[in-house]
Amino acid sequence: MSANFSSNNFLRPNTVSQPQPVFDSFGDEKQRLAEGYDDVVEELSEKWKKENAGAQIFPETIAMVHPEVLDFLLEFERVSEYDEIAKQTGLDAQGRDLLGHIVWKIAQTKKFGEIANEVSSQVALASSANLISQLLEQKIISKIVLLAAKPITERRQSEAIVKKDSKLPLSQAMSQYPKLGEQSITSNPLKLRYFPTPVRSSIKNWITDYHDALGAGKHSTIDRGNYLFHSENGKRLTPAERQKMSLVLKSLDEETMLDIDVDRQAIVFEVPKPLPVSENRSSVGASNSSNFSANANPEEIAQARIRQSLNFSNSQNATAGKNQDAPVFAFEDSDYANVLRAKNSTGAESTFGNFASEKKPEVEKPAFGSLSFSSAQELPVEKKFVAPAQNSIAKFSMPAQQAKIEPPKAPQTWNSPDLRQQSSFVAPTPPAQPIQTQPAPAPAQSIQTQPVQAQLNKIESVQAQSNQIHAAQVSAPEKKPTQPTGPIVLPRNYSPYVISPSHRANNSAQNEPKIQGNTVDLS
Amino acid sequence: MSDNLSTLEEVDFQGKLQFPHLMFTRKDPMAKKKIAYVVLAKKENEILLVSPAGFGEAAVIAGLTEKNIEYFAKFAPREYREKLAETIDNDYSLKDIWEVAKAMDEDLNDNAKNNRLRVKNVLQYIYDNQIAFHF
Repeated sequence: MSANFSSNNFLRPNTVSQPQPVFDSFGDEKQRLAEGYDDVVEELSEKWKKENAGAQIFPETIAMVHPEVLDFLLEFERVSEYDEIAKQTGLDAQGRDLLGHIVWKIAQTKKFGEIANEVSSQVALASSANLISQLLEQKIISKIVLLAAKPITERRQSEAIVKKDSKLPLSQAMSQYPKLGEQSITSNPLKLRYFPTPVRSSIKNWITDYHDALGAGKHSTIDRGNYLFHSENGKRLTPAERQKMSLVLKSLDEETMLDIDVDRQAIVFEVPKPLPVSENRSSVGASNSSNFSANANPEEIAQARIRQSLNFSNSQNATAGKNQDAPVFAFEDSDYANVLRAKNSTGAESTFGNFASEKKPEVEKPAFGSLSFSSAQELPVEKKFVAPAQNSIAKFSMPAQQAKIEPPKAPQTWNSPDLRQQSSFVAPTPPAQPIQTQPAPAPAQSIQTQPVQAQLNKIESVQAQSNQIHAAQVSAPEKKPTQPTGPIVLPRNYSPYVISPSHRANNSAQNEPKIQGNTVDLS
Repeated sequence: MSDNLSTLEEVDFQGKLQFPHLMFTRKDPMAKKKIAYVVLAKKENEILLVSPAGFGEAAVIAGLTEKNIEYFAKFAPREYREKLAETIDNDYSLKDIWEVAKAMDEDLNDNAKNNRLRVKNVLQYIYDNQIAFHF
């Protein structure tokens, strides 16, 4: 501000240095204030335009009306025209108020020929309905028809805004469209850190959880990726949901544009399209490219897109979305060999060749689940276990089978029928690898899976061995009947009370067996 | 900031432009009338500089001219329209508006009805174009 125009100088007119007429000072002061006022108006107007650049002007109901029709209907002259029509037709105040509404309805629906019907349906004064419709048509509707026929050369601000606002950053969109924050983008409810019960998976709640996890402010791509894959709520996302969340969080952090549906006040997420095979391969790494095909799962593709958008390294399989809970594979896992065997289920043509089908000297008892089938089925992993098991059993039980010694049943069991009769299951014949040493084919299908048969065979072989020894003892009359020296604990599944005869029959023949739980101690 | 004005003058102008309804702490009839006069003196391009909350005040609406309301109807953002419609829908506010217009007429002379006629036209305009104000 210049010193000459300060209000103090105005109060103390230039009486000392430059004497001037007082009225000239008033003129200057007025001019200064007027100029200053205009400057302030201009400054505030620019600020206002910036603040309201994306604002919605008209309601959705009339936003699509032709801009020139809108201008025409919003001119103040229409008020006096309606007044005049009401005066000519003798309408009361209520009838006069209807005129504007009728015209707006016609302009909205663009059914210009139905003005008479509209007037007669709304105006109670039926006698003047024709006159009213004629006057409205002459003064207003005819002009609207002309204006509506014009091509739209210049977009109205409102329409431009409706279109333009379809792309906004999240923060701006949420401030402009308050309902947008309530949009649910995932299916599972969220667990917020500072809220006891699960909450709706709205955008607002996701942002709250995001800020609770990573803090407010901007975050890097890696932070977002970690949040989406490893946070408590992020773990439970499906790949498609994770893709949506990655877009939302990216817009939150980096102010990227989101497609906004203004009418619904919701973010529009594009439906993921299948990527070409070459793109998949290039995006997920050559080592895993064989897992992708033209018929790739859309969720896998979505997962690949997320990784692309997050700039993840290509070291991970694009199908990792299926194993979200264990994104890092540890080679030290004890189950890694089993995984390899499972991959080898296709035989020699598979990636790993015959790695898993090599015979092993010792077969461990497989730990299988409780899967059961209505007919004899084999899981791929089971095949790999059963075949070696049967081979080893065949080798082990060969002497007993060749000798064809039928051991007496009485010494074999304690207060229980024969093992085969007691066990309710009958093992089916393995379909792929019939074993030559098997005494007889399985009579019927059973509900048990192949490994059970393997175990049963193993038990039988142990029994056969012990029976052989027992038969030898029976053939020697000078010796006492055999008694097992120690308990042989069998799996509960097969026979809880089975006792196998001991190899050393000369020990403790007079001792009574002791039952402890499901085991019998004959020592 | 304007080069021609002191800070105080500029703040004063900004207040009059943006918050005319806050110029007087006491909302007595005289204060309302002054507010209406301030609004009445505004040009078309200044009317939307008033904050949206201002259109919740009866005195501000009582000061609107025909040109101002037309400009408002064509360019005001949603927030402004909603506030104006809310005020018009309130019977107490309508009565207030009419009282302010009457007081302004009384300032002119006993038989003057200019301001009441202006306010009546403004309200009629809003009723006629109700669809443009209600979201």
